[in-house]
Amino acid sequence: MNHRWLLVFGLSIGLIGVPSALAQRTLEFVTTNLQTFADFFNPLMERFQKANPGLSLKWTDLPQNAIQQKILAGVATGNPPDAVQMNSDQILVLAQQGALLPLNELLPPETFKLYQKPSLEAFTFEGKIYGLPDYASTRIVAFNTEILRKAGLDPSNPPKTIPGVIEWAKTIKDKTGIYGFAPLISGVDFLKTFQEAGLPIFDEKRRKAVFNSPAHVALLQQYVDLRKKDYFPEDVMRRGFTAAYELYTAGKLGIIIIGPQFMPRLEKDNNAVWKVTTVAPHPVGAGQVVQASTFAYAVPKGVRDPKAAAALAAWLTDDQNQLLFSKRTETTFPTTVKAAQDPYFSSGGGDLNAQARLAAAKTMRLGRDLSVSVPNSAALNKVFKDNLEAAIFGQKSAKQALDDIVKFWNANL
Amino acid sequence: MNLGGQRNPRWARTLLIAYGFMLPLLGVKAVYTFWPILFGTYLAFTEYNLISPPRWVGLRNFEELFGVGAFGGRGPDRDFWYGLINSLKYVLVVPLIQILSIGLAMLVNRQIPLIGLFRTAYYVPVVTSFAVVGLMWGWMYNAFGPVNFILTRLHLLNPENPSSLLSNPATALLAVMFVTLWKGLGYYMVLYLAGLQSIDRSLEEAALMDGASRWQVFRHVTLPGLRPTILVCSLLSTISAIKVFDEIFVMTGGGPAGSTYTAMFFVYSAAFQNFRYGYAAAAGLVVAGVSLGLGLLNFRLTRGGQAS
Repeated sequence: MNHRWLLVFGLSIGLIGVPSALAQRTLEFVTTNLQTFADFFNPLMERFQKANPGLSLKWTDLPQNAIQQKILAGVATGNPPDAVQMNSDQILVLAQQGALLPLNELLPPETFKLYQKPSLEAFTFEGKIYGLPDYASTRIVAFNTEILRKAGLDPSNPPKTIPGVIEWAKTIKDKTGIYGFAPLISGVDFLKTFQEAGLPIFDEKRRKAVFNSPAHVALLQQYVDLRKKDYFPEDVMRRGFTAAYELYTAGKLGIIIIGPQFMPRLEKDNNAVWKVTTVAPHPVGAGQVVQASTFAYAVPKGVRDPKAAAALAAWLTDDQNQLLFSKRTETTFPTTVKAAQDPYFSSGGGDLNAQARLAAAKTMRLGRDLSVSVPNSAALNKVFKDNLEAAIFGQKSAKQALDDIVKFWNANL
Repeated sequence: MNLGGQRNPRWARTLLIAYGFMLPLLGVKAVYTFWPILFGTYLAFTEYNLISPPRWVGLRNFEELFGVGAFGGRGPDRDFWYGLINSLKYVLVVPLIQILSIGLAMLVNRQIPLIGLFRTAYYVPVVTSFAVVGLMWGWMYNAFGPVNFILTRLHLLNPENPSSLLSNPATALLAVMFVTLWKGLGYYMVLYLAGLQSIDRSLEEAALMDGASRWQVFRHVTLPGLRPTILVCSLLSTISAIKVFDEIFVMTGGGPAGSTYTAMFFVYSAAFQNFRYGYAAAAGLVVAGVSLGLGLLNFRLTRGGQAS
């Protein structure tokens, strides 16, 4: 090849390279199941682009069960999104796999002071922070007042404890034949039930599972007995909250434990049931904690500019953006110290949706993401689920089931 | 074609044209079938989580599955073998689906009005996605759904507490197997219909004229003529049964109490929930070996599919 050809070749390569050099750099962020909030995210992206000339944002929304695969595929092909919103379970699993970058190595320490400590702890694994909390949502209790009246119960005086809710549920079933409640105990959710009741999962050093004490067995036995007497639908063991919500929406469930964000959806799904629904704060048990699902932004391994990606995650979850987002949803809560104190979140009481937010706000200070992070989580969670179902469906005693789980967990932790 | 002809330039041209036609499909097969098989086999001997490159570990994954070598103290992987046993139970669908689809094919193998409508109707479940089928049968099996209604009317279920078949560990696998049977029937019916139509009618007529009963004609003329189709159908349905996943994923998620957990569900969990792609590939390879074994058994039972 002579020099003239080399020159032509070099110029061609150079010309191809020019447009990409002139092009804006794009950062991509991914959200979970928020496709209906384009009216929030589009202005958010415009604000970002105005504040950061030369940078543009790309927003992708994915269903919850597709996010982990998207990240892993992105990491494997060297093109992951820059910031990804996930729940604590997902973030901890990916952190264990080494698919996420520890954010405390990318952001100054003062950044983390913005967030409420319990929210941040939900995304901390082996002393490293893998997610910046974005929003949280705690549970409330919703009652179908028509069913309550048929059962002779007073909707204006709802129970304030879980045993109280169970007593109401039994009365509803006995007097109307309709299921009173549908406990959220499928999969590994019973671990949250233990914690809400003040029962520990691990010993103090977090080396051994201890949830087979007589108190743990008694709590599980209570649900075994309830199922045996058909006080809650068996479908919830298989389909969890979806089954509970379907029954409640169809007017075939007296009480549901639900996130306040589902109230606007109920309004559309069955307006008649929404109109006869009343809400109350989730009862607080001996654990003095209430499950609060928390979502956070994480930065996958292999992003082109880790510091820029972490800065994007911090910007997406700053005071202003969290406040705007939770005001837009009307039923979720910010996780930054300052935004969470906004009077909006302790006001309300107009329509049912606002009452739901207010009911959730009353227990939000006790809200913790009670997901339990364990290594080899798929295997451990499967053993938990299988044994719990075996107990609920009468194949094993409650004690045997918990003993078997604890034995397996302690051998594999 | 004789060997002398193979050296003929005309033969070479024909060969070239034949390969020319086959090449695009072979290319697609190479990328989407042969390469994944080779790569999957390689992965079975590695530790791989998509994030770091595969690391060669030799037979370690198999040792873990079988509980030997470095894993001798832990015993075989309980979940995998439990899943494999459930998959083998699933193979019980095979003879049933063959018998029913042969029967169905014989029913629709006649020229009567609207027979096309019946054939189409039986085939509709085959082309319906498992997401839809799973949802529909989930409702059918609901505690207060039509299946339980019939079972309580037949006094097979307690009307006071009609438990869903999918929520009962003793019946869940059978309930899902029935859905597989229902969905697959039309597919095998069409294959058997083609098989029936390829049997020379004069053979059956001759047997009848010789005084054979209808059953004798079926037993000694129709069935031997169907043997190649029986081999194909039983082979396909055995492989599908061992690989069963979609139905389980949509309808039960492996529960209740692990009663519908199958070998392929284990492979899925190991890869996509536990991110152990190497271990999942090793389990997949063992399942493929079992499929191969059952395939050979099918060959023996159907005498190599030779029509007599």
